[in-house]
Amino acid sequence: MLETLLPNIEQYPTTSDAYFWLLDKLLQSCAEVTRNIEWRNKFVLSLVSAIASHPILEAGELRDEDKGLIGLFNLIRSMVKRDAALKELVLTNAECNLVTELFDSCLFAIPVAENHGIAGPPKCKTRACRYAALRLLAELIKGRPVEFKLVADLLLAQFSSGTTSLFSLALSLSRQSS
Amino acid sequence: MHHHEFLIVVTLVVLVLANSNSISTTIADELTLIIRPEKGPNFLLSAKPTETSSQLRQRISQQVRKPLSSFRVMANTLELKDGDKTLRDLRVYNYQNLFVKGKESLSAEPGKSGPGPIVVSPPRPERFEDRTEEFSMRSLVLETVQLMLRGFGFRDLPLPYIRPHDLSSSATAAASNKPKLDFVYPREHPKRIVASEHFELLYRLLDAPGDIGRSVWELLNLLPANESMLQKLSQVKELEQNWPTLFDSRSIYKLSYTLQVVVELMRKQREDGTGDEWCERFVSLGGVSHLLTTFMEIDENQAGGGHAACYEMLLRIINFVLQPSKRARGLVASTHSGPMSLVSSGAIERTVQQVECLKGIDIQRLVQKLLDVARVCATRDADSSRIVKQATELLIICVNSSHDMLEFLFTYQHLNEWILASLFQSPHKKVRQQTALGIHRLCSEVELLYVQCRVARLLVSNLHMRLTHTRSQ
Repeated sequence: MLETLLPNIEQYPTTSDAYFWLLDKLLQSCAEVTRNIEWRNKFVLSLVSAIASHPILEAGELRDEDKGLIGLFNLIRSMVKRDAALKELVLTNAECNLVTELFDSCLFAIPVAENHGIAGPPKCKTRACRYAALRLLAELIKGRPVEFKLVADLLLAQFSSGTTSLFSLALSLSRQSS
Repeated sequence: MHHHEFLIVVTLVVLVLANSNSISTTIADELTLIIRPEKGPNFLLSAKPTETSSQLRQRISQQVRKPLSSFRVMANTLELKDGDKTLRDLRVYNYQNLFVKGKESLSAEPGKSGPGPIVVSPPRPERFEDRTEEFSMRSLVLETVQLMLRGFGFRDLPLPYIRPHDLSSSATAAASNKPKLDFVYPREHPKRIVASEHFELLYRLLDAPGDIGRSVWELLNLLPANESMLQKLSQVKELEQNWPTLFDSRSIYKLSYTLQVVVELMRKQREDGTGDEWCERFVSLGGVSHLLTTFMEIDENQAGGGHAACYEMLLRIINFVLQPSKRARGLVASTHSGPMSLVSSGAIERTVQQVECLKGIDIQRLVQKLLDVARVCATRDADSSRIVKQATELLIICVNSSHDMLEFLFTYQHLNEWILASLFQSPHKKVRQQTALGIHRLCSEVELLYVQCRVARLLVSNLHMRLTHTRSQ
């Protein structure tokens, strides 16, 4: 029943904290969940796709936190921390690469001319949300050398001029079009 | 209302209005104020009516040992700010409660964490009108009491403050039956005289229409609990015939008063450790059934804090009665050891007792009502979290009482609405947290019950096998 309410989190970004707390506690304590592997796998993948499709709701560093997005990060982190098989499933998901999704869309995406302002990227702008995303990222790469290398490469690219040139390219493209 | 009662009220009102110009002259030369800090003991402070609010705040600051900027002093809804206004100007009266509150607790918005700009809401003209009326009503009630007391020949002298532990063992039986209050008034104290001798009249006037009922309710709240009602409720004996009179859902003020007395009684019994006996008598005389019927009769859509307070107290009393003390549960659990302790634990004992109490109650209707009350209250205010807490506790008892209830709960058409309203739509963090805790507890209890059932089934089948084996031998 609580699973059916998952799409509602976009409507209530500031009040869905208790919902995620409850989901996490129930998943931890309910023996039925640990037995039903098929349902559990399906559920964690639905959480990953919920992150991918989640709209940008945070308007700035000092504005309201998107508790729905924070809840999704914490819930996935809690699940993969307890079960290595789930981590494997999340990281080998063909539909959505959670590591790059977290790194690009949630943490380090930069506004471009076509997409900027309050609703511009990244998805995580507040301190709490960025912290939750980073904690999930750290949990995902723990004990996973391939994903660790991927994140290290992405970070190195971030420190080099790669991102800046991307931003410049987007800017020049928008100038050309105008 | 009877003619003579009406006459008394009218006479008092006329007297007050006639003396309204000389109110300032009738105020006592020295005020005794009851200071109630958030933390630490309450204390009395003498002040002159000509003293300014700044001076008073300064003295309170010395007493509570806090800087002036860290607290606020509240007289009902009015804040005593630094300024030149005297206590007389501010209509602070003798024996008034002044609440010392931390600034954080006042400025913190529910459901919002972290520092944020303090938003000053614009003044509303209609609020000003409300406040004017509130002051006039309060002064009316106070002056009424003062006039009544003067009629009895009492002066406005500061009365001695007696701490509860100062009371000797030779205190009267009536005093020992009184609920523990911060201030124990001597027998000749005007408040006790009004609360005992004129209680019947005041209690009947609670039903009066318009502002009279509300004013009498405010007046009764200033007085200590009525001793005869306390005794009646603590002895339980005579209650069987008086349930509808004492717990009358048609009069919200009367019901609130009785419930307040019962809550006080419960608190006292919990402290004394005599709660179990009282609960047993209360249940055996049909108290729980009557309270549940009363609970279901109140319309949850009624606006106003009075109804919410009634719901909270009703549910708290029902839950208190239905849950035996930890001590008793511990005794039951300690009598068994090994695998049997799993089955014969306090939880099972408690469930059996609860099932007995709920016999004859339409539990499906009760479950519906509980969910509806929790749903409606969830969006009202942060204080509703207490109702949500009590409602979920009773919901767990209902679900534990019958296996069909769980199925009924999951198929109830408004269940999704309840979860949505309480977990997502409520702007109050406390309400959302309490709902989440309640649902978690419900799920844990249900799972525990099923585990216990499985263990019990295993034990029974094992015993059955042994029995058949012994018979065949």
